[in-house]
Amino acid sequence: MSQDGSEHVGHGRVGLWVKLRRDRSAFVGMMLLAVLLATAVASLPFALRWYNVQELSSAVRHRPSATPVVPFASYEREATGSRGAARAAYHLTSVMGHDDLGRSLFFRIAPALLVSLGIGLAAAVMATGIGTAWGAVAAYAGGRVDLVMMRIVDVLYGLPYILMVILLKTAIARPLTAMLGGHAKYADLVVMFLAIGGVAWLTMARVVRGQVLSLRQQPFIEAARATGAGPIYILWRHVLPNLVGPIVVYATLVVPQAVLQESFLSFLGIGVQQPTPSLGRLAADGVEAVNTFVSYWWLLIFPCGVLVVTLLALNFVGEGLRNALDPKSRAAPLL
Amino acid sequence: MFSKVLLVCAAGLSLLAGAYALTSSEPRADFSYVNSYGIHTLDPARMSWTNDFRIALNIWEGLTSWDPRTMEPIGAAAEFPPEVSADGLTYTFTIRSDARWSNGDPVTPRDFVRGWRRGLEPGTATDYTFLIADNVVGAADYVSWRRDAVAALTTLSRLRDGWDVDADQARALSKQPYLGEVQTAFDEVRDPSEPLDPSTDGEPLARRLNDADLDFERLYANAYAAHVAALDRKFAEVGIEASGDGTLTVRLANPCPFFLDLTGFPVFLPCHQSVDLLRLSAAGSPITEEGLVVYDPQWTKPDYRREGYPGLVTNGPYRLASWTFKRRARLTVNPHHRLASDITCRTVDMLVYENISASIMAYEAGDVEFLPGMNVPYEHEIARLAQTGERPDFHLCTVLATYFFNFNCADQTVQGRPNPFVDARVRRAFALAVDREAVVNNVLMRGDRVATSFVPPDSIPGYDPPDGLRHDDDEARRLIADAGFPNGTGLPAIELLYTPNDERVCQAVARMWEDTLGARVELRCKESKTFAEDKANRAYMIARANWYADYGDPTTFLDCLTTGNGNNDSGYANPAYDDLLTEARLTRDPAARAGLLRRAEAILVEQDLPILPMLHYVSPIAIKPYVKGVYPNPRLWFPFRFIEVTR
Repeated sequence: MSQDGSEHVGHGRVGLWVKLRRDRSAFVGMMLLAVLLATAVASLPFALRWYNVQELSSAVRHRPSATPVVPFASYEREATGSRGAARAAYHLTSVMGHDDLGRSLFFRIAPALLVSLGIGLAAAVMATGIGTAWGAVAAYAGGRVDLVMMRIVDVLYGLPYILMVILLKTAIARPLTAMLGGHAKYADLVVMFLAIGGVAWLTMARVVRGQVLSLRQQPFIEAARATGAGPIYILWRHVLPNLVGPIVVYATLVVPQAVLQESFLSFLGIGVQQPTPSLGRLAADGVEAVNTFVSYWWLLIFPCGVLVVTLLALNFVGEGLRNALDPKSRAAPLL
Repeated sequence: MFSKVLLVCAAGLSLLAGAYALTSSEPRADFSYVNSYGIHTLDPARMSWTNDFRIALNIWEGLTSWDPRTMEPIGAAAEFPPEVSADGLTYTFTIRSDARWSNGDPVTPRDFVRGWRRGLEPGTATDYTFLIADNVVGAADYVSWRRDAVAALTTLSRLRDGWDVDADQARALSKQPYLGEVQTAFDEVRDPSEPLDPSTDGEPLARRLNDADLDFERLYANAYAAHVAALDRKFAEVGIEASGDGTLTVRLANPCPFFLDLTGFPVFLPCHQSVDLLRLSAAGSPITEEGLVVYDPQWTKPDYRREGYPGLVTNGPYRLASWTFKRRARLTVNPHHRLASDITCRTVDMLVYENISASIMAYEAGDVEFLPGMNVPYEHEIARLAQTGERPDFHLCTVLATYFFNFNCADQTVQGRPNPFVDARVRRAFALAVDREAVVNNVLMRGDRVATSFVPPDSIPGYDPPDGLRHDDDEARRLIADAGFPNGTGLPAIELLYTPNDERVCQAVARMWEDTLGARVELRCKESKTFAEDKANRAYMIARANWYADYGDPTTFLDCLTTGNGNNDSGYANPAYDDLLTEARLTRDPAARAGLLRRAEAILVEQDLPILPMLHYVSPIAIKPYVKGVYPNPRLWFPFRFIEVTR
């Protein structure tokens, strides 16, 4: 039996795809994500121009219908490229109904999904990058360095989240806006990436530190050290590859978390500003549209439905990845 | 074993009974209504929220009040109408002989002087001081004299205690001619050999004052004594005079045709003498060390007892029986009021529901009888049910109020970049590009009236506002090109500031500006406190705003945009506009006065456009059908003494 960590993982990598495909829930999750993403990306060329096309000349909040309700002319003005493609896309404008400004809900949900997922992925990347480096270094160095680094994490943990986000926002929003050439919209997005990513890495750092603490006692690390390998080499070559499992799992779980946090922050007015859609925003608006007197149910059902399906799919994939990467896991698949 | 079970059961039952007793200690009120914000303050000199006014004007009574059906002034604590001199400058009110405080004391003219003076004194006065100061002879002088004195005394007390003063505080000393010895010391510090001008050289002056070797202890004591001695003498110059025979004489600085409309306002309410027991000040002196008039803020509580204070004493048809912060206030009939026996609604509950949807559910369940506001996202559906008559208990009030946008008229934005809205053509273009009909009919769908003027039309008898600008995309494009921004090129990103309640209107309007003018609009939705801060710091380019009329005269709107007015959020300054308003103030002939005001408003809404009027509000209210005597009116004034509950 080899004691080399890299071979461990190498073995796992060969079987990963196979294992994931065999895991029914993970496979369903991946398919769902693929379908949602494909739809969103395909509609993007139109969505970018149509997400804020309002139709206020008559009644608004049209119910969902298979045939478009709003005249083609309103959309045609904004469309680029071939008229045929625009015509085809136009047929989708009313499938999910229209909102309180007569905007096509379909062409708001599609970019909203990408915005939300983008924020989720960015947060996951940040959390993984910072958290892994921080946790691994702390654990491997040990002693006083570990103590100081982990106390910093504890302190950041202790700060109220909202306070931190607001501080971050006040500190960097203005210079950032100036740097981005006066585009406050993009500055908002960057602040939100930083806010969510900057907090998500804390848990990641703790998880990784725990793993590395146990790993560095393993004989194969001792062996590597005996051959004269430096700490960076050992971390990179022997420790990290063995951490892929927990890191990937945690990263997939950060994505749905970040999507939810984004909706929360946007609700407070710190996150994505209107009219840029995000799933959280659309859902929050939808809640207000359903009450005892009158119900525009489609404004709640569709954004929430897409949000739920996306989050479920991400969780399935995360779960599947964990099972696939962890040889000890005997957990039964969800589906 | 059995006894143990019994014991536990008994304990549980007694707990439940206790909880029940606590929650239902008082029987249900005859009439309850919802106030979704709670009470901010019950001090009539400080209040500025409609919800606070509603309570205050039911538990206190001014010289006049308003008929809720017509909103015409009617008599209250004074005989109506008062005696008015031929030049319209002197009003003599006779206090009714049967006017009583809730503890049985007669209401005297001195109580009114006390109340009005609280509305002027630094320490108790706030937003509505101007209603007295702008109209009553000598009041504005008194206010500025007092403010200067407070500033000077604050500076001297700092110096006495060994603290440093800053430039502003140093300047304050230069404005006090009566200070005598202080003046001499101040002139010495200014040093004639190298004189400093206090208005410009605040910094060096402050440094010299901080280093000066003067007996500030004595200087402060003398100045304080001199100011206290001068207080009543100076106040005697204000045209409010109480005489022994029960009359109150008010002398006005200029004719004010709507003065009897004003005198019902909270800042003109009387104040019972017991409040003076709770003055917080240096021993034996009416003012604090800094010269402020300060009261124990708890004086508005009905059950507050200290130094012999009997709890809040009021003179209105009702008195405040209990008040739990952010939960409930209960009013009961004031047994000493002259109308006490005629009032059928004996108890009134004000219930606080911070969530307006929850209050609507409470109304539907029959827990409350009256909702004076229903500001929910589905307001349009409520308005529709009211309009079609499907819900006869829902009513629409046409409110004397305007929803508008403020353009920031400063030369530069807060970021220090050139501000395009300094050019009136740009402001006009933005106003012309807005299709208000679409916003009102298809976005809000509440039945509001489209606004092209600041003063709502047909709302004030004898005043007909100008036409204003209507939707005209072509003219808007022409103007924006004229101003040097053809198709929006060269126009910086336009920041539109608003609160979450305005989301839909602002998104729709932003889109119109983008479509018609090619502007790039960035929406900045801020929670209401941050919004207020940004607005106060002028950290915006366009901001949504609204204004509810305080009294039935166009000036309640138009005064907001005079140069330097505290409510002039756009920073608009046009001497021609100010002159027209001043001229109107001095004009007695109603038609000529209305003409002047109309010309002033035309500058506002047709030429300069510092504001963009959007709509005049309607506000849905809900009244249970078994409640009579709540009259929907433009100022949302619902006096409880008119209400009859026939359940």
